[in-house]
Amino acid sequence: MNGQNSSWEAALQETAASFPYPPTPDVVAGVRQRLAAPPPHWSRLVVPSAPRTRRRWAAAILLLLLAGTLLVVPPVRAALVAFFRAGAITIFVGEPTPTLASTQVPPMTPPPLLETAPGVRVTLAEAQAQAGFPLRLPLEYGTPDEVYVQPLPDPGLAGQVVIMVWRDPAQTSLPEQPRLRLYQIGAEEYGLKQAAMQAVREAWVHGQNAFWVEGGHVIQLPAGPYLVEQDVLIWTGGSVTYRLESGLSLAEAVQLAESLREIAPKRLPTPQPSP
Amino acid sequence: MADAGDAERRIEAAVPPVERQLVDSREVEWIQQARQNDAAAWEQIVSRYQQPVFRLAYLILGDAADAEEIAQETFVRAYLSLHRFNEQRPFRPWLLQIARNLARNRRRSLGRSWANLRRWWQQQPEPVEPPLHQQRANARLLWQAVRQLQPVWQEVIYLRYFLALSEAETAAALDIAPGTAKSRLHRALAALKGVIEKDFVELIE
Repeated sequence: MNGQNSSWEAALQETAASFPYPPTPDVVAGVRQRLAAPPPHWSRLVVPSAPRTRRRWAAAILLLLLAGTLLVVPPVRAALVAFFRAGAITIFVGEPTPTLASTQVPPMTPPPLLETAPGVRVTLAEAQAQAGFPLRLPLEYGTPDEVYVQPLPDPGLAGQVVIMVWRDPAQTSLPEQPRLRLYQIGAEEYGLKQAAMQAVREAWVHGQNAFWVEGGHVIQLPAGPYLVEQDVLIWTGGSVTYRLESGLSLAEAVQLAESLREIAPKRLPTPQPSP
Repeated sequence: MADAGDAERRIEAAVPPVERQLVDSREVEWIQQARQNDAAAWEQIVSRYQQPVFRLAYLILGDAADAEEIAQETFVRAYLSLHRFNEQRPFRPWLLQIARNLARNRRRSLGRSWANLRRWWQQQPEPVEPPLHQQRANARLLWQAVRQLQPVWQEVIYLRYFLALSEAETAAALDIAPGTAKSRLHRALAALKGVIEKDFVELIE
């Protein structure tokens, strides 16, 4: 019996030793950054306190408000099937309702779609100083052509959204689609996407769950609905949510996502006045 | 009711003298330097132990992003509690104890809704999961079987078999006496056998 037990245990240990863990992330920089934060920050890390609770409530209220406004926009009103959380972004998956075209009931006046995601243009160094989390750059694309910081409407939400834009050097005329738009979202709640069931696919970035949304869709931001015309990859790393809008294929987008590296503070260009 | 002193004595008892001698002197030096606010020394500790801490959190939570957050928080909290660490004891179980508590709390707060959504998603067609080598696929199946057990039984199996801790280290990481760890492991294994025989017969074949 003991022999049987020990062989069962040995087999168990051998099998368990082959477990396919995701690659271990290097947390040294993150720990260093948190240890370098001023002491009052520590108390929030150790014990969830009132400000944290307030942030969560604020996030929940924002989510409800966004959900309400999202369904007012006719192109995105749909029979909701399910929803998923991808970090700070909630994706509603649904099927368009035919009643939108055939119904005699006049739809509510939709809010106008934003032409661009709003934000304040800053330098990369300014964005890093304001972000509150380490920004990352894709290895093969160098520094972005434009950087924006998008403040959230309620300071209680905490966190920042940094948008990096890479333009296509061969395409100079306007209007144009940027080559890449990379959102780095350090907030707990940011926006809602609505997409058709067949447009959303599960993907993997560094072995972690990610979402790939194909084709045009609308994302409801705190400032209003924003039409996304390119494909989007959404993934998370630590407490940051990344969202990549591009014309890349899924494999290329994943490759870019896995190439992101923190910007060494020394290599940040000296802040220049914003245009 | 047990007090902090009882807990300390239980952990002392969980670490046999031989293992106490195996405490790495370089590691002790790093810990002493970290207590003097030497960040570089603490980073050596983080580099050395981030893998087992991340892996334990991943086993408990099943999500790499959550596990990364827990790993980071483990090292932050451990640094803040260094004054309470007894250098005569091995460091790894102490660290894993912090990681396990944080991951447990996170698992409780996540609730069932996300798990239900994930299950729904996984039932959808066109899975894009990369193929796994047979042994790795079996290990993943084994993990799924373990996840059907009570959390306390899961944890003892993760520490002893997945992370390959000794019995003494397992007891220390769980903050229980060695005898209790042994009997908990025994019951966990019996329960796991039952789950495998019922739902994971391919692991027996």
